[in-house]
Amino acid sequence: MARLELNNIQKVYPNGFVAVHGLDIDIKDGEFISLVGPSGCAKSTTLRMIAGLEDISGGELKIGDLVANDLPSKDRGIAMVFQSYALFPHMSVEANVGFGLKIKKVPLEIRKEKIKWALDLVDLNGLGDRKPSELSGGQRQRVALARAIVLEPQVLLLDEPLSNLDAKLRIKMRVELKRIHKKLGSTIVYVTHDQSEAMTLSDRIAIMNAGELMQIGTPNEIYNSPKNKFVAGFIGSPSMNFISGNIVEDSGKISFQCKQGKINIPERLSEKAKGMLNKQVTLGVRPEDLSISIDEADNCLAATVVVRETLGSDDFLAMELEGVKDLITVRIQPDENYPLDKKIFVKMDLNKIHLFDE
Amino acid sequence: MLKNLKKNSFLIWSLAPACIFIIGFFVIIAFFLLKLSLTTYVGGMPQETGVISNYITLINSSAFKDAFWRTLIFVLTSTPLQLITGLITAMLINKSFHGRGVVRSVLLLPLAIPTIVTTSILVLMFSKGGHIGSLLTGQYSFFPQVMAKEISFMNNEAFAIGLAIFGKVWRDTPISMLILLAGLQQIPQDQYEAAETMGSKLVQSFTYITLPLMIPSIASVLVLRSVEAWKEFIFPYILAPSFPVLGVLIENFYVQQLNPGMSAAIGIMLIFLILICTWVLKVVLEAASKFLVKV
Amino acid sequence: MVKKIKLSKITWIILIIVSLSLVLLPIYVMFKYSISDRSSWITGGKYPVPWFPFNPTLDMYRYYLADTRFWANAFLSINVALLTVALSIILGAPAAYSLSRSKFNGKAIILFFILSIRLIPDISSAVPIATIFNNGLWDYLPVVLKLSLAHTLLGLPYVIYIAQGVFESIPKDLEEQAHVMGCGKFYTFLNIVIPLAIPGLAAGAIYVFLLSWNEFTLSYFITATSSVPMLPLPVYLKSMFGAFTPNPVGIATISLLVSLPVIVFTFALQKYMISGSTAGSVK
Repeated sequence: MARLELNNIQKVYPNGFVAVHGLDIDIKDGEFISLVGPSGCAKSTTLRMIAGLEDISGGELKIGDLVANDLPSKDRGIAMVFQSYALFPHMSVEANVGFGLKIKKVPLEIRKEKIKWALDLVDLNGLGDRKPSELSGGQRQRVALARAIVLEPQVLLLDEPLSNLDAKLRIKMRVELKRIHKKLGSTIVYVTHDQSEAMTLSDRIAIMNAGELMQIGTPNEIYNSPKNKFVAGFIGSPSMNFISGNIVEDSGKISFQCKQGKINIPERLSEKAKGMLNKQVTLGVRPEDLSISIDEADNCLAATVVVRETLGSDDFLAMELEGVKDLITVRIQPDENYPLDKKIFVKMDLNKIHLFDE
Repeated sequence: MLKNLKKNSFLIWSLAPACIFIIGFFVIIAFFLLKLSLTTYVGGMPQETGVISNYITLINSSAFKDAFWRTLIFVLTSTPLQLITGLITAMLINKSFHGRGVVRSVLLLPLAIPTIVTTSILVLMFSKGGHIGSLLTGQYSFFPQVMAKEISFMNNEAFAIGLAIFGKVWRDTPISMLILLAGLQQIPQDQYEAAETMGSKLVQSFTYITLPLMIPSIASVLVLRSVEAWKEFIFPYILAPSFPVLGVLIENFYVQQLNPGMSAAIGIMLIFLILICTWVLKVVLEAASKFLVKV
Repeated sequence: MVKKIKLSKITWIILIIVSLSLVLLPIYVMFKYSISDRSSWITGGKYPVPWFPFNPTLDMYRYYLADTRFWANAFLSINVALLTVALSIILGAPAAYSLSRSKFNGKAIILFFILSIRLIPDISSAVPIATIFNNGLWDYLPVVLKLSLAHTLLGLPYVIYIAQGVFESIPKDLEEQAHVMGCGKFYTFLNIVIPLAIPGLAAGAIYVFLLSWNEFTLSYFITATSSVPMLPLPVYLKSMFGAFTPNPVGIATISLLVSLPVIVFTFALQKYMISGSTAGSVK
């Protein structure tokens, strides 16, 4: 187990393309951290730089107390699970799991013991003689995991390990991963594009976009106080509603003004809002922080219901704000009923609104 | 029945000519090969039919034994050599680099040279007064003298067979290269990366990942090339005419001695030798692949 | 680490250079001999054969291109090759089409038989083939036909193998559409399938042409024990070695003339040629 430090890590390709712009992440010993972002945000590149599969163009990578920039992969004390699992198709499960130990010339006796321990841990007892082609997707995933943890790495790197599984299995494996992390207490860097995976699994989440770190923090911090519009829009499902408008000051009172109405800015945001006075801004609010009102009231925007999506536990209304084509999503209780295609009002919880620069 | 025939008339009409041609010839060839091998000839005229004396004469003749050993050496040398040269060239161009297409085309060139032409070039190069003789006796200023006197390559058994092997390998390496290249390209890059993160060095990755995953392609190369080597005729015929291998012995009996009976008998024995060799190869390869993937 | 990468890179470059020169040197030597003047190959042991002729000349090309015997042999080779192509395609294409489209029992058996002809080594089958062709009624066949029948035996399995791939790449929908519109199977095959398959079949045809053009063993056995006025080019080339004083320039010139069409076609159609030459590796 070790601490992992990325100080101003950069990746520049020979053709001059800068894939990673000075990344600073400090990962504590035993922490489960996720790198999240849309495809092409260089999260996998970052992971491969930590693994030593990709050269680091600038900055410093520290694993434990060692500067690892130029260490070959095998001396970094890492183990990695690939998105494709990269199981060796010609070797049995046992041979796959034991491969790293064999390379390190661990005696056969100890090797066998460790293989058994790792297979126990991932619940694959008795499947040691099978070939990867004889296993199900979930089982292959476990073999890949066992192959990594059998090396007792200081840092375990997981590259979208669940993305090849079907939805049901993915949720089951999440729990499994969490359990294994608890048991081993190892430092884990987990790359995924699925924000819900990151939210449920991680101690902290690092959100990346186009090679830059957008925000790093606990799932709660990220969800409740996103630093910018990108983070706000990326985390949460359905995603946050954005409404564009202006900040105006009217006899000492600061408010957000848009075509459909006016929203008072609460005390906690007034400092921020003052800096944005008379500027084009975006107001963000999550579907669960909106409610419907039949009559006009303060802090309400006029809208019409377009579609009702029924999920069972919660229902969502897709609503069209007056005068704009953009839809906003509102979460309601299944027993609430509102007429379609009729002007009603959307009310927001002022404590939960966010303001972003345009 | 008749209805069925009518329904499938297109199928029958399309398949029948090719099948009749091939199966017809197959039967004729097999029948005559067997019949000839059981017929003795004297002075170009058939004497007795239905006797196995051809086989007995052959097995007891030193010419046949010598030819068998030469052929065996030819097979045991040229087959692994073609595997090695094929593997090296395949790995060389399995990388992407500038001008890869051109290099690949050049490496394929031997395939585009008719075999008989390849032998004729080798004859020119290695005959007395040719480039190689002059080179080895130090007549070119850029190359040191290796031999005091020019030797006649084609009249020395070891050199002549060696030359035939060289020609065979030169001409057929591209085929092995293409088969092995296809195999190499099927190994995903992440296999090597996974091995690298587990501490595997280049040599270990090659032994534990490349080789076992290449076993099907390697097997295909070894089987095809060894069959080719057993039945090789042109290279040893032109380059080592005084030291016949089995293929050349067939020609000697057939053309020189007008004895098709003996030729056919060797031809049949050749078929059995090929079958045995292929079976042995299969067993060995299976054992090898098991050994490489142990825990 | 940096040093290691450099070392492997240097090895790689050296190996590339070595393999390229091993391939190119013999071809260069052939070319060099073919344009050599007399003093560049008859040295009398006073000086080694030069790496480039003293006075390059195209005399030998002029001589052979005006030589009626060379042309007679070349025409024999061309005629045999064309006849082999025609036989292989006419017999092979319909069979390949049926094999690629139908799912009847025994398909595997038929395929096995078609490919099994290649299991008999050509050096073994050459003896019975030559014996049959040069005895009895068969002996009256013209030598062109004897040779092309023997070559078809080699070419037909390739055509069936290549053409099967070509037909499989043509969507079945097109034929079904034609059937729905009322065309018979034969009509559809001729008017819908064949036009689409022409490029692939052409590649197969060229492959078989070259196969026949290069073929030595069968041609040699068939012509060796009978008296024929003309020889296919490879056999003719071989007969030149047997001359009392072989003329290296003549040999090199004929060699180049024989190789040239093969080299040109092989590179013009590299993709198809490769699939042909590795055909046997698919099992």
